[in-house]
Amino acid sequence: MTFILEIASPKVKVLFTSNKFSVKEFGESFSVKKIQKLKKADSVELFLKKIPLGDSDKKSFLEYENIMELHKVTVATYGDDPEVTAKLPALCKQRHTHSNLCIVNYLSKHPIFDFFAGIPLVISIVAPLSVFKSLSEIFQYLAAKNEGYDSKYISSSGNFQDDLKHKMADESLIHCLEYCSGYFENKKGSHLLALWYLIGT
Amino acid sequence: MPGLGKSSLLKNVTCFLGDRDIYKDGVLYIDFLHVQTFKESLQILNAYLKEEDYFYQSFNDNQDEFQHEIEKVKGKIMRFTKKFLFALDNIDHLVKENHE
Repeated sequence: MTFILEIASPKVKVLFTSNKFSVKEFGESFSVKKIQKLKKADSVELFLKKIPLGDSDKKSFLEYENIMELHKVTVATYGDDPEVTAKLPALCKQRHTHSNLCIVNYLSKHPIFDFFAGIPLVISIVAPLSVFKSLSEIFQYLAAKNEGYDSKYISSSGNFQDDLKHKMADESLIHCLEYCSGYFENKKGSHLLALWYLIGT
Repeated sequence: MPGLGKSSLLKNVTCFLGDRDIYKDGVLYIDFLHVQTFKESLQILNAYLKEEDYFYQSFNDNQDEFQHEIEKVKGKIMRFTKKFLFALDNIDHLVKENHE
């Protein structure tokens, strides 16, 4: 840090990135910008943008029947605990042709976006799974990998949303990378993973 | 927290500024992801800023040579008289090393 301070001048500007922040190290000499995690609505927007499908395939992927299927699977996954089920998003009950808004409203409250923890890289890596899997399959895939500590965590605290988010915030990236690398290595080969990773970043 | 988009933001900002020729002396982007020590990073900086330095040799860890190397890099940076931008990505290890 001292070195950066020494080389910086009105004629030499330094921009840098780091995961570490220390008030002592950075002091008032640096202008620090902290990048926040995405809000759930923004996570949904990014997820939808990162789905690598053509318009018609994307439309099929996001059909409301698939959302209903996702809801069914979600209730089946967390249905044992009424307290948890109560916090799950509700399907749109209006009698109309369900629009994109109904889908976004549902997804933005769905636990699948707790798994992502608002981290753009995780979302960018998981979204391409939509080529091979439906929404409910992606959810099952992620939920199954977390089953061990999910059920324990939920029953011990009772605060599903907050606790899951807290848990995933620390581990989501590593877990998702593991799921995806395992999936691609088994099914499609590691070169494809590298390609997805490149697209994701 | 990895994966939030820090590097993407830095790359985009650097390209944005580079494209517009705001820094007349140039823009230098270096990714320090796999650079573990400050010594290594100095060598990289020196290599990028090299000006017909055919006799450049790696330096030892003793304090004098280390300080000499730092001064050498600083000297090369001083030559920029207009405007120059350093974009240093993933300097986590260097920050950590500084802490220790």
